[in-house]
Amino acid sequence: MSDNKWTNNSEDIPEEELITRLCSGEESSYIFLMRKYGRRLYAIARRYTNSDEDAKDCVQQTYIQVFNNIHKFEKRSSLWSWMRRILINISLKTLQSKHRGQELSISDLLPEYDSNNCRTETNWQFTESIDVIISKKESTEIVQKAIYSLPQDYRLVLLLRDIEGYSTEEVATMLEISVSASKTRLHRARAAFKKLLEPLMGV
Amino acid sequence: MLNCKEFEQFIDDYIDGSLPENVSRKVYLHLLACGDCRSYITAYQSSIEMGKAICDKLDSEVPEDVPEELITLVLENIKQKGSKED
Ligand SMILES: [Zn+2]
Repeated sequence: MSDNKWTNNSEDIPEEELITRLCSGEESSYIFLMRKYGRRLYAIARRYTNSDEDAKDCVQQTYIQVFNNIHKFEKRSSLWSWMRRILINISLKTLQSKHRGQELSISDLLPEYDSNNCRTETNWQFTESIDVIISKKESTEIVQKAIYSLPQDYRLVLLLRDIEGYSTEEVATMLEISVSASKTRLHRARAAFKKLLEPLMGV
Repeated sequence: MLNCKEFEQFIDDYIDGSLPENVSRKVYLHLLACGDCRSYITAYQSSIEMGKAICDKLDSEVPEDVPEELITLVLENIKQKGSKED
């Protein structure tokens, strides 16, 4: 039997069959899984850790955990969702032990009001469509800078909820905070993010 | 009538379409009357949209294939564990 049978990315394997092979410990199925999802997992880990080195470590740890626990996978979600969740948990743990970067204070980024509690921020003028704005190179830089300027507690909620698409309840579980804290943080994070994106709109 | 600051706390529920019934009328009335909050909500939603679109773009641009080194390290680790259990 050739061990290389599944290492070719162009050949897909039905998930059911893949799981069976993984459970029986076939090395070629491990290699297949790493080749198939490694890149996507790396991209996500990179977003949380903001470091190539840490992201690589997280992906490595994720695969080790996945292979060691594959027999516990209950198929309530896809294999990908299960792996992504493991990766994010590992990335969050990695973050806890790291020095934080150039974060701003959330209180400087919240909405502003006058003495009558009326909004005082400058309105955005949409002189270009969102698609046009997104396609510009400097937009990528501004968005990335905005994400990493958010204080970590807020950044994580924004990434998990708005980028990864987890529910408020799932975010609360992953960050070990209450649902109401998760909602409050999300709102502040979005408001701060909006303010940090103002350079995109010429504000 | 809600002021802008009071209105602020309902923005996420408004976006999700999950406003509690007892406040939805107040929220709509404020939006009807307040151009600044209408504009704010558009900007707020656009930021989320732009953040998501740009992160998706960055994900798709990750250039490297999985490093062979990573594959080797993972396989070695798994084998070690397996042999310890034998
Ligand atoms: Zn208002």
